[in-house]
Amino acid sequence: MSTTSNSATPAQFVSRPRDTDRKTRIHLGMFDRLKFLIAFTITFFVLVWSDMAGNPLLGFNDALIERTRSTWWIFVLAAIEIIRQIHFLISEYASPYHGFWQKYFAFVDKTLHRISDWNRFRLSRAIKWLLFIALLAVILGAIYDEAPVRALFLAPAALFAALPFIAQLMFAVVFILIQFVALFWFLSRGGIDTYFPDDIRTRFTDVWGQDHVLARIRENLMFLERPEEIEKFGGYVPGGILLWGPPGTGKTLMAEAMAGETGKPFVFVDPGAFNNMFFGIGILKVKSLFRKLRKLALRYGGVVAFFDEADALGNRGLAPAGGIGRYSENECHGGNYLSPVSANLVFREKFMMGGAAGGGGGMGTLQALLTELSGLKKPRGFLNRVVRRTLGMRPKTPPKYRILIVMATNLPEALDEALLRPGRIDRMYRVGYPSKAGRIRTYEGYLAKVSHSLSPEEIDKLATITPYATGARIKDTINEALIYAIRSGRTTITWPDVIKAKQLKELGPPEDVEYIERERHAVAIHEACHGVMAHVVRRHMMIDLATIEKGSDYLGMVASIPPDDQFTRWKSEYEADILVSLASLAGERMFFGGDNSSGVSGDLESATTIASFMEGHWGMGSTVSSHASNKRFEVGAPGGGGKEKRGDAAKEMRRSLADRIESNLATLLNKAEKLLKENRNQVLSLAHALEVHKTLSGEDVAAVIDGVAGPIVDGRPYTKAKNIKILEAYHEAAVRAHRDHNSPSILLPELQ
Amino acid sequence: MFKSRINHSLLLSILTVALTVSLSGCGAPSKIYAKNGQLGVFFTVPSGWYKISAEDIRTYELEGADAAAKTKADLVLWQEAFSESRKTSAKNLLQLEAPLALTAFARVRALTLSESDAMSYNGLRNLILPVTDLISGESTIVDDFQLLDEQEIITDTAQGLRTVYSFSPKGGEDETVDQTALLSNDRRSIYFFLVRCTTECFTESESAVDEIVQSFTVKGRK
Repeated sequence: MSTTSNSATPAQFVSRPRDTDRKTRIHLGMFDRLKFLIAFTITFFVLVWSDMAGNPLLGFNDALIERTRSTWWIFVLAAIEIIRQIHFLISEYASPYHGFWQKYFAFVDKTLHRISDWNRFRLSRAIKWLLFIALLAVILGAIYDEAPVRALFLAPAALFAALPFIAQLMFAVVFILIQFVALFWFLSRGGIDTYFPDDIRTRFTDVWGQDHVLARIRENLMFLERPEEIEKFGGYVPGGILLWGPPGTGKTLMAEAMAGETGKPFVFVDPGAFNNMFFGIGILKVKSLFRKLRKLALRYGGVVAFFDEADALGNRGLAPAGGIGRYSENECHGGNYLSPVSANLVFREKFMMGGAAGGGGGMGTLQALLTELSGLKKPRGFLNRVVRRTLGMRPKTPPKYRILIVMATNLPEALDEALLRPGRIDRMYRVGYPSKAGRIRTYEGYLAKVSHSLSPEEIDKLATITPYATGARIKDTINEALIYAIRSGRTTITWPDVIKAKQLKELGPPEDVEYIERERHAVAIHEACHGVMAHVVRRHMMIDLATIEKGSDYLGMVASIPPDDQFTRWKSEYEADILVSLASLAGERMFFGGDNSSGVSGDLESATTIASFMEGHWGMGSTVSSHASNKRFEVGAPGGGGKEKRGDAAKEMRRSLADRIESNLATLLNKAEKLLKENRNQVLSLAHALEVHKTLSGEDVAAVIDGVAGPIVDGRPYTKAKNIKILEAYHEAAVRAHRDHNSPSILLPELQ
Repeated sequence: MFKSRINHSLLLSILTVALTVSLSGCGAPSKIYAKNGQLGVFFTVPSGWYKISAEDIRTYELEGADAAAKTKADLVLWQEAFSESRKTSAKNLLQLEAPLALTAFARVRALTLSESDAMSYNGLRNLILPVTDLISGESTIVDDFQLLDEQEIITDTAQGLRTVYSFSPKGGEDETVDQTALLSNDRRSIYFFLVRCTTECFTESESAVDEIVQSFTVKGRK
């Protein structure tokens, strides 16, 4: 029946009427109807049971009767409850009855609602508790055979009497638990060292070449020591610093200096501190660390916590944010002027291509750290939160914990995005390669510790020819120079010691390989072409050294260094770079009658790479669009098609990227050939000097090319025409030997 | 009209239970239960018996008594007496002449150290009358003394004797006494229960007497 009627009129959703629209009372649930009666019944039967338990002679019937007589009031209450429920029941079904009550007894509700909601809730809660306690008292009274109220006071005594038993049980529980608790406790120790002022002797004056960062750190420490300086104006003490930059640039040293300088305790957190074997150890460690930090902060008015190699904390696989190009080197990236949405788009795309995630302590450790870092303002403590609340008091506002978090990393990309937000890490400082001034200061610092004979000019030059030297590198170079000096039976470092040490550090030890003569000459010509070309066209770099001594991964090389700290690069400079690279190919072909060796492969690779970047990325070619984003969106490079007839410029643009790169390189190769023809004598001269001395410093290279006296090599003989003839003859012999695969008929000539 | 039948049938059944319980309160209990939970003594007498208050008993006992008697009376820990007749008073309970209606009397009394040392089955038997001497004829404080029955009672917490005897007090009606006297195992207190009447009434209600004496239960101190 019901199914047919259902199919005829499908069940409809009926919306609940508002209270004011109701004609009858809301239906009570079964439990709500019966709960008091059930409570009364249970109470009554508990009392009966207690009677029977207390008297072995008493039967159930008599117990029932006796109890009914003694606790008649429970029936009065039950009767009242039944009447109330009957009243509700009628109200639920009979609307006139309900209406009558609503109308004439509304004043009760109104009176009640005059009390505030909160007070009404408290009142009802108090009444409920009183009722519960009263029932409990009655039951306990029956059990102890005492007056109910007295029995209520006997109950704690009974509990006290049972304490030994409870303690026994607790001991068993504790015995089982203690094994885990102790295990976890021991595992959650370690990795955190606290230093107090004067424990560490490093000072800011020991950190060289990073003055701009130090100035900022000093500021942070100043605020930590005198927080009122900023707090009285409504600010707050910056809570976090991130030091990031290449390895060896002095981040940890800076932290040590902070520890030495500050008058506050310094907590050093090991990178591995949060690696854990069991789930939760890391979290426990973070929590105990911050408990310690808060304690120290309160006791000493502030504390510095240093997380070395913060990348060990890992990330949750999200992109680090906070501005694009933050970690890119020397480019003017769009991130700084684009709208945030566009910037984000550019950035996310880039990130997805790279993809990097995970690592670190894992298993909630990072999250715990994040919570602790931003959760310093919550009320804490059992007494504060639970006891005070129980007594109806509000928890005390937490004191100001002045904790300065310092993190150091050389992989800032590996840090979690959320870790770097202001409030957690307020300030981010790049501890980059030291500037030239910084390098000079660092050299001076380390040289001051040893005996040396270097003049200020030499130190200046040393700083110039070691452009990316970090503090650690400089320290190492000086030490290596000292070793050279000691091996030569001296205690004082001289200029050649330093240069040798530098070459050893940069190039590795030379392999003691003797070239056969025709190959030595070929390598010398190859390097001489590079050297002459670099000397002629390249103004933004200076030659550091030229060598034909075979190293671990090269036959010879011309190394250049930038004479100044320069942060932008120009088209003309890149063209010069390509010319220097292509000089080897052009030179070999020119000097060896069109032949060339495979030794040019590296040169061609770098030339092609630079040419590709120029054409595709840096806007130094004939098109505008960036190949980086073309590749990302898979739209292809401009060109390749273009069947329609257009002007020459358009035709040029429509050529494929590779064609354009090749064409640019071919043009530059021609130019290199032309320049080498013009400087043929210089090439032969430099090749000869290289063959004689194996390795030349930049100044000697310049002296040979310019025909003047250098520090070691005298270039003046190379200006003489007869000497050039000798060199040409030697070259001819070498080329012949090269062709016939035998020894040259003329030995390496000595020039007057 | 009713939304759910089950709801209301349940409600109805609850009402019925409540009503039954409250109506059962109108009926009278079948017995009077006398007890002292602390000392662990229980007994019942038929309902309709009358209580003789403990205070009355003590007052009567101490009337004109000397200090030594008063000290002895203070050793009483608990006592309760019931009689079939309303007329039975504390005096009837304690004097040698038999009460006219069946009367039950329970008393728990602490023992002094010397009493405890001296207490024996004889001592228990001789609590009211020197029964031992009367049996042997050494004492003649009452006439026609007859030992009707005697048996040993051993419970978990106490042991002693149930002694039934009859006698005629000098110038009084024949009387029968069912006396139970137990010494607690720790020898600190004695539990004493007495049911007595004239021999005539005692014989008439022998089964009732037995039921009352049987109900006397000693569980011992908590």
